[in-house]
Amino acid sequence: MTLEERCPACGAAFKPDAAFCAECGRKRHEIETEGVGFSIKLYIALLGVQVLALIASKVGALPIYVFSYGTGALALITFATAAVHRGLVAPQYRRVGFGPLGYLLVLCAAPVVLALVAAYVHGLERAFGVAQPGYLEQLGGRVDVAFGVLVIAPPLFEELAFRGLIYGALAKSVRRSEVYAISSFAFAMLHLSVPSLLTHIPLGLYFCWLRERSGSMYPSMFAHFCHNLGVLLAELYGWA
Amino acid sequence: MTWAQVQAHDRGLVTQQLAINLGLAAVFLGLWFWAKKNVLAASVVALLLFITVVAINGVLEPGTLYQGIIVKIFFVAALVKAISAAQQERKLAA
Repeated sequence: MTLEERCPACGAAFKPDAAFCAECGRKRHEIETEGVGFSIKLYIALLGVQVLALIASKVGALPIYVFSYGTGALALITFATAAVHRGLVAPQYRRVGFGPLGYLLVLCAAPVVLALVAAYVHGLERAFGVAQPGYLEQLGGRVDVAFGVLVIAPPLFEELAFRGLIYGALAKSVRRSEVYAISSFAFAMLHLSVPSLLTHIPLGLYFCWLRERSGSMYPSMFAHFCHNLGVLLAELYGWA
Repeated sequence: MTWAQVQAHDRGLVTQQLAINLGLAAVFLGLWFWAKKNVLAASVVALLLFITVVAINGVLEPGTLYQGIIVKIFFVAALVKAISAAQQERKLAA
């Protein structure tokens, strides 16, 4: 099965051997150089927020505030950027992407993905004998806050940032494999944890594939939501 | 927590830190190999990773920000130059 190539500007599928997009008239192999610079700048802006959150937690701010304000600032930057560059993401929000079966498959894949991630994290904890504090533990057991900053917000703004803005900007400038690699690396690195690169890069690639396959943002947002919900439930009920 | 457990925990932290640094070295080595085939993508990833690592280290140990600052600036400049050159090459080839 081969992936149909889609227009990075409007998201419509290119007809075989077409030199132009039938929907918007954009050249199929047009090279734009500003996409890489835009992606780097957006990443640095998001990294700046993460660094400020890290400083806040280092000087003794309560984790609940660090998580809440940090998530809010990340979301604000992402949504403000998307408002200015809505052409990069708007077409992908007009499509549902998959039918019910597609979403069901994404839902079925979520426990498998979560089990692989949990096995890796447990393996690390056993190998080094250092247990990482869970989200709920850091948030003082506040399930409502954890639900907001872990389950609801990240699928919205992280998908918009990495599979929306960065993916859309890079798709105009570099090859598809490079879009996958750069956006997935950036997604993984923004979590500020070297060990988690091994789990978040494959996760980023999976979300990119969903976005590419469907031509829509919703399947990757749904997959991200399912994964993060699984992480929270696993912690809440002690499954992992 | 007993003294033996504290010692084991500290040893675990040290080993973890060593593993993280070795992992980073492995990632940069991988990027070096990747850059031979694909300069643009490898340089972008290397730049993002380098900036991230410097920023995190700067927060955790502020003194490291000034350590080797000339080399850090040189690395960033070289990576930006590599990205720019790779983009120019793409444009000319298109």
